[in-house]
Amino acid sequence: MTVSSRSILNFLAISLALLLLLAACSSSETHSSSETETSAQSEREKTVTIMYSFPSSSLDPHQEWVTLRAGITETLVRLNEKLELEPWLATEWAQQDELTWVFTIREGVTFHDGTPLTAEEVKASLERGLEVNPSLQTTLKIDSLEADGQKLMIKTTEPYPALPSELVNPNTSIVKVDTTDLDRAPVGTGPFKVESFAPDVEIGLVRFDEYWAGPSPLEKAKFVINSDANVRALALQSHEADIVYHLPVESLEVIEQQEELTVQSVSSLRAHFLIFNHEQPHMQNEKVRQAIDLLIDRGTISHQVMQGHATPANGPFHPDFPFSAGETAPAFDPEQARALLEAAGWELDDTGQLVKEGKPLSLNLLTYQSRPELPLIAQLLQAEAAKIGMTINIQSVDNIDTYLHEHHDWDLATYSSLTAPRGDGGYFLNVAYTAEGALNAGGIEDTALSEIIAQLNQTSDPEQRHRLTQEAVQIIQDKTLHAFIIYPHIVVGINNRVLNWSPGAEEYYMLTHQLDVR
Amino acid sequence: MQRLILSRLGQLATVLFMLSLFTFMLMKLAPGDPVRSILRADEVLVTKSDEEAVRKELGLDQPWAVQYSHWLWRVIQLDLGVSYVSGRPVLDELLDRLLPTVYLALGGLLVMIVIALPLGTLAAVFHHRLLDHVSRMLAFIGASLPQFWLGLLLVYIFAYQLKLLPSMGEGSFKHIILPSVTLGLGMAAVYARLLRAGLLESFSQDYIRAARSRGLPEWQILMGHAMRAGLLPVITMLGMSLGHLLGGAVVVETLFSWPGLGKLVVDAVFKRDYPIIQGYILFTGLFVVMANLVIDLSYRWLDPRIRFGKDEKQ
Repeated sequence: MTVSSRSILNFLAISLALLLLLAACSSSETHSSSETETSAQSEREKTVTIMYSFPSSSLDPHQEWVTLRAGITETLVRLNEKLELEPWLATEWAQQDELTWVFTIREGVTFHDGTPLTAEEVKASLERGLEVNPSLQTTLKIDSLEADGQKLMIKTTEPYPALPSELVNPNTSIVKVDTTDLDRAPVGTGPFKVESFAPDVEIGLVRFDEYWAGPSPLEKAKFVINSDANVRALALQSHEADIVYHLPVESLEVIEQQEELTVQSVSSLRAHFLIFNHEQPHMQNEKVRQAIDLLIDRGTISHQVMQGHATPANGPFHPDFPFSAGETAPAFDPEQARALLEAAGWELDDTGQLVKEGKPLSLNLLTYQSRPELPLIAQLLQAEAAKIGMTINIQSVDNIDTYLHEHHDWDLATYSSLTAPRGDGGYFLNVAYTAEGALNAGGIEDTALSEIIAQLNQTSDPEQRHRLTQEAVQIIQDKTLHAFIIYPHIVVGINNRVLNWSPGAEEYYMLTHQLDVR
Repeated sequence: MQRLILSRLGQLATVLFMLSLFTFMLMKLAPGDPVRSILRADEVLVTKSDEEAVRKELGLDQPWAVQYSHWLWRVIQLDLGVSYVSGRPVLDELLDRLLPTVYLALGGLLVMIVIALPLGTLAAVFHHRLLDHVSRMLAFIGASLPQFWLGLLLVYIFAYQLKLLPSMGEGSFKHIILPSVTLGLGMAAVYARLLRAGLLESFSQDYIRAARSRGLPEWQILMGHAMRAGLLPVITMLGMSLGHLLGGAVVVETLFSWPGLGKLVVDAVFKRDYPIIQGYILFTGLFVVMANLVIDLSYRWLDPRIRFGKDEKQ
């Protein structure tokens, strides 16, 4: 085909011109506006950008945690840095009788619209939460609420000493209920008001000048969400975000090299552990469970798999908690593990396999992908077990919760859970070790432990609760009812222009009124 | 013409019915249900009887056919229900995401057209010459770059190194550039090759030779005669892409924090939020069928010889 060169040139010229025009439009515009934006920011207003990983499609405080994290709403009770309960919107609380609690609501607190906070408003907010969120109904066990001035009387359906700690739950946030846009622009009592909201993407916030504990030094703030870890790391590096949660471990080296950035690795309230299926004959044998516990190389897991961003676990609760079992994690001792198994009747055969009554010791281990370190931990355990003659078959499942409850062909499983999300051990003990608990997939039934939990559920004195929780942990560890592996850390990148702020283990209080920037 | 549209609308109802039925069956075959998400079982104290109570309340303990007919009956009354997890009406959730999805789709298409149109045309005009080879190479590269990588690369260059564009979020024109380019580049590669093939095909037609013998300038032959026919395969493909784009581009949305439909539904699938999934299926099904109807109608303009159905044949 022949085409005259002139017409081709024409065509080329036109398309090139079009392209250039488009490029010019976009680049010139972006250039100028980004320049004005940065200079305006430094002159006019102080602002901070926090970036988080889990999306929230709404701002309904009774459904999502993000309103508390973004400093829009607050709860009656909070956790302090030592993970102890502390007054927040309630100044004090006391138990009148077994079923009745009286909370005193803080004076001088106003909602973002100027309405003063009264017990009546708190009551309305809690009632609305109970109505729309079934999980609050099961955790708060509230029978009725009564308001009188600044006093809120709560009657529970059963004796419930854990009530104050359950009121730390971000879903119990106090919000003005008679507003039109509860799920788009909730009116809370926090240091920041909602200015704009794009679901799953970004919350634009402005300072609330009448904040009860003193207004924030920042004029504005942004709470941004991105679920891609690499993009989050890049946003920190490009200074688009000042505080970035959940950085990918592989990006840390580069980030730490940048002078103006810091990485903080703090223990979380989460624990990774092994669930044993107590309905399987092998796993009913305490020695087998203990042997598996001895095969867990917690040091290697913390340093290699987690690249130093984890603490070896001793029991379900983080060592910072007053009710934890302390810091010394169980030892890694394969020889002892083999000795235990031999004491339980297994013998090494010619092929190096542990056998009892002609049957090799072979276990099915479940794991899942949504926490990528868990399959790696499973493989490490498999390798260590093979060295002493125990066979572990790894099966990766899609939905671990469903599988655990609907199938019986597993012996053990890797799992991860927030063990004391509201600063009290009662939650995990009840959910994981009682017959009715939704997390007790392994069918654990231990009389001594059940008695302690029952006693705990009746005890409201904090000291006594701590002591009972410690006793429970002791039994769990002694009998190896679960094998706790590590407490993973929360890895947060911070730009050094951020002042008066450090990440907490609880991942609740992110945008605070003290946070400032240079 | 009207009959065509009417019959297509009839087909639409059938398509949507079958689509929703099959999705529903597939969802029920997959293990798991939304109860644990609803109860936030990972964070709060939940007992097995609490789980049972919620399951019963939502009717999840009933046979799937019963559940489906309940859902269908409400849909016939134009009620898509509410999300199990957020408690908001499904229609609101979908409409919230529609506009960003449309913007992103249009942005992607624009980038695609700007690249594919010149690239494909040049490749056809300079058939088997250097430009054609270059365009082929570009097309190969564009088609084989995975979106998540291309997107990260663009963020790295334009947001981190050059600090020209925001890496994520929405709000201004600047925000849509990177996601659109990520989306458009991959498509452009395919479309450029399609356009080239279409143009080459029409260059060999008699009417082109006739036009040439009449001494028309090449420019006019290309634009006025060859292009219309050459666009036919491109338009067909566009119908499919459009449906795909309006269904949401999950990878791009996740990477750039773009509040589109794709992310919404992936999240819903993980949480087994059936009303959202079903609503989404109806929504996108509607889009795909409508987009293809428009495409079919556009054939008549591109090539007036094309007629549909019996009564349109002359």
